[in-house]
Amino acid sequence: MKKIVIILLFSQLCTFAQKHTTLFIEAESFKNKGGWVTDQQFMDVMGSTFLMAHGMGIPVEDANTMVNFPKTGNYKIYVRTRNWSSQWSKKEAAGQFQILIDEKPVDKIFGKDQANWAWTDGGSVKITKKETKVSLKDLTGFNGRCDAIIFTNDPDFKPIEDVNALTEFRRNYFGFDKNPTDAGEFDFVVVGGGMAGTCAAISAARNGVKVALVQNRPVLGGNNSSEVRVHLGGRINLEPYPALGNLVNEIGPEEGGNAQPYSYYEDDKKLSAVLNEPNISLFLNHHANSVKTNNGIIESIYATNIETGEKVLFKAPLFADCTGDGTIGFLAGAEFMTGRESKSIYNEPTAPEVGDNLTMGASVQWFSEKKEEPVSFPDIKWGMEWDEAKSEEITKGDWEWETGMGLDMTMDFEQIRDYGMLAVYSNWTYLKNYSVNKAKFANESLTWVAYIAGKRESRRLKGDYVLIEQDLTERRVYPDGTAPTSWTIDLHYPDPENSKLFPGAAFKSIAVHTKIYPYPIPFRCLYSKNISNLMMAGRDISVSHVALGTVRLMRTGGMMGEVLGMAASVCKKENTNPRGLYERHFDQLESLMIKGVGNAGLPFVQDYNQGGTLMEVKK
Amino acid sequence: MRTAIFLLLFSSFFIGIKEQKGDFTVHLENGQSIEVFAIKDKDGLLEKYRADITAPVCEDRVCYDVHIAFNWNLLGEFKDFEIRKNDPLTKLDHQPFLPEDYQKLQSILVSRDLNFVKVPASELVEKSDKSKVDGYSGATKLTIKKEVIEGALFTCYTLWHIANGAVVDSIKNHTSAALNKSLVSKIIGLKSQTGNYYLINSLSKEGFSENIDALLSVIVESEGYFAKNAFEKIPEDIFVTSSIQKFIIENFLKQDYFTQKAILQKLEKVNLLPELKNYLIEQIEAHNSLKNQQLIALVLKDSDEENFQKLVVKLEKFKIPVSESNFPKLERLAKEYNQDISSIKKL
Repeated sequence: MKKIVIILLFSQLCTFAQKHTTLFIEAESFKNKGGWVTDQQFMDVMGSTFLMAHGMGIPVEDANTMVNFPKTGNYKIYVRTRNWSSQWSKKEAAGQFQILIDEKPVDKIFGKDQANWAWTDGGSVKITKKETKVSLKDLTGFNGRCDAIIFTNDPDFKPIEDVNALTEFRRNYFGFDKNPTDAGEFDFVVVGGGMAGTCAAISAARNGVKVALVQNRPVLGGNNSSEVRVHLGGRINLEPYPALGNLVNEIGPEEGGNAQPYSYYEDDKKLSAVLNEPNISLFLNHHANSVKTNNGIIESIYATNIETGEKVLFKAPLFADCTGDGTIGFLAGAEFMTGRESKSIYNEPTAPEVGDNLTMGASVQWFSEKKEEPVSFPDIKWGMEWDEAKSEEITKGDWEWETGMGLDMTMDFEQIRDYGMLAVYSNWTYLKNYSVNKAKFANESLTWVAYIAGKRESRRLKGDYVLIEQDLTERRVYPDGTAPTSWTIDLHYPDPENSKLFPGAAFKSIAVHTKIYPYPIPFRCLYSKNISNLMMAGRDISVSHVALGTVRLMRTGGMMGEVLGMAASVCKKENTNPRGLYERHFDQLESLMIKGVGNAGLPFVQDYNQGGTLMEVKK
Repeated sequence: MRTAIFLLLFSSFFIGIKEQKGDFTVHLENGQSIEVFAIKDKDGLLEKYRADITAPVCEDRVCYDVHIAFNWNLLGEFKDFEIRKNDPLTKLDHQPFLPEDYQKLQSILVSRDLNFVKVPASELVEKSDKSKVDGYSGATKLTIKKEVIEGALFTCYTLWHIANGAVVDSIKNHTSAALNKSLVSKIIGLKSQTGNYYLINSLSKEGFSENIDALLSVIVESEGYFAKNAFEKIPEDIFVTSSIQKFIIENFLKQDYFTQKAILQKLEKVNLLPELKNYLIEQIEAHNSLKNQQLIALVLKDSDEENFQKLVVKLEKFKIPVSESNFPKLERLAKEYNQDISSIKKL
């Protein structure tokens, strides 16, 4: 409510002469979110976090908040929303909802008009009490979404559509940018709380470094969290640094399996590990979206609280981009790569003759559960056209439910995620309502569909070295080798069978594997070429598209994080940057990698999903 | 467990061994055992291992005896199988295996990358619920289906575990007990990574000494981390010999960084030939690393004046700092040989 009060005061000051009031309410700031989920995945594109009714076919519980109106009377209402399914179907919209004013719905139904994010005119409402309850009522259970609501009694007010101008408007009205909260001084700021970032933070903290860990979700673990549910993959405790991976073993889940029940992913284990480190300040629900640089050096970053909109300022001499999207590097002006490099660039045997924008996709995994009684599922009209040939008679969608290959993994990501959900719903409505074998699915209930999509590939930040296919296949080992990558070179492509059924719009993938010997990733791939105090771990390191096929596994990313934390401690001790470490102090990093940072005394529980390898393994 | 596996002593008809006790007996997890025969070549050297097996297997409540003979190589790696004439393997409903099923079985038995073999037998199929008409009851799980022969899931499962189970270690131990120079050569001749690793993990100190030239040839051609692992395993005493020190001079640069470090570690406690010491000084690089400090430590060890002067020149030229542990030795020798080392920094 703090935000609303601030707007109110500001608005009143501005409009005193006219005695008009305009209230701007962020949906994600609603006090009670009911069954609506907070989705920040696309805020760099559409401007904000929003609330989404992810009910998998069952309307979710209302979200509500109390709004203080300075005066009662008539107000115009505008709602920033979109009809997400209209890009694929002109039939009745998937995600529809109402606004309730003190439990009474306004006439307009939202989420069924424009395809893109924009303000929908909701007509006029009469406000009879200064303190009024405003609710979002989901009508469909299929991902209706609300970014913000405006109430205004200013007849001349026009809501701003341009995303940048709207962001500016928000900044001015909320005032958070003018007075960001100073998070304090740190030695090392790690952005991204997936396996790579979490391990980087813990490793640094245990090596005496004061760390801020900034994560834009309420949980740690990234693709391995219960929000995405991809199991860890790759091998740990390998040559040439067998102690690397002990931390992954310490915080990683004991059970493997994609798209399994919530408890498999042990979110709390990762969180506890971080909270147990006195040197870490953890900032969950904070999305880093602004970077201040000076002469190729990051001075500070700003993160937005994805629920309150508040800004937080982080200053440090050293940063780590573990965002997966290379977000910090991108904002800082780091050189980066996307898509597939042509053969002419690195002469890689697997590279295409002509480079293109094909990336590996993002997975929207799902599963159903068998109930005692038959369970219905809406006969949706807005889904893709389906028939027996297209029908997938299964009760779980694994990694291969993968979309977005060929699209932009940052700018188009809402479409990519939504298409993944559309495919799941289209198949499921067919199985439940039309399939010749629908009896088999009568008691199946679609209980989990990921709304945080599991991304495989995005921007790759360029380092002093770019790891390529031949390094891996010809085993060109460099003295600055660090964390070993052991998974196959595992590249995904649109599934040819699925592509025949859905030309140009496959939602399933195939994997092509090339086994390798475990290979130590050069340290020069773990820091930016032109932003001197930026390191990276995870899938946004300096590798070609082909080499990404192996390094992208989460255990490998976690070990990169372990190395980054160690490197941060050497940088702190020697008052240098990562390149300085490489050139003058690499022996210290070697010593730390030999020693390791995780608890070596724990039982080895990372024996699932280790992947094929050329190395000699114990049978 | 829906499938009960009982292994019975099998009297072979097709290799002419009846009621014979093998060279050793392998006890299976369920308490049963198989007799394994060591087969020798014409020169009397171990060639392979063989066992005749009878295993009752149940596929969806239909049970039958699988009769099959397995062959393994010297290292316990499954090679192939043989089936009796007129006694084919069968699938569900007693359908005999087709040629492609035998091919698939072969590929399953030699594979290390299968997921279904890691699953407990009781979890191989979806739980059966006979009270309801449900096409998925008792069905093979989808992820497993791709890996096995349809209708022969438990045959694949049972046979894989016999082929790749306790017998492997027993074979290795049996081969190990028979290791001599000829057998080592034979194993090297297999040109297999498993064979090479088997040797460095099995050879005695004397065995290493006797076969060192052959092993060094293997190292030169090896892939992955074998060279590093081999140097780590070779007993230190062997590094005293001038032949291996000369080998190091000739091959050091062909090895990767981590193998080089493993070699240097082995040289810590042995006396070095003067030419090796000079060679090691040349290997010190401007780029600082643990390898550099290892090299410096080796050169400082029992260094004569000439070596020491060369080292100091190198350290000064490349501005290489010296680690805390190496520095006292450097100072001691500087004093002894009256050398100025004031420009050399301590790490």
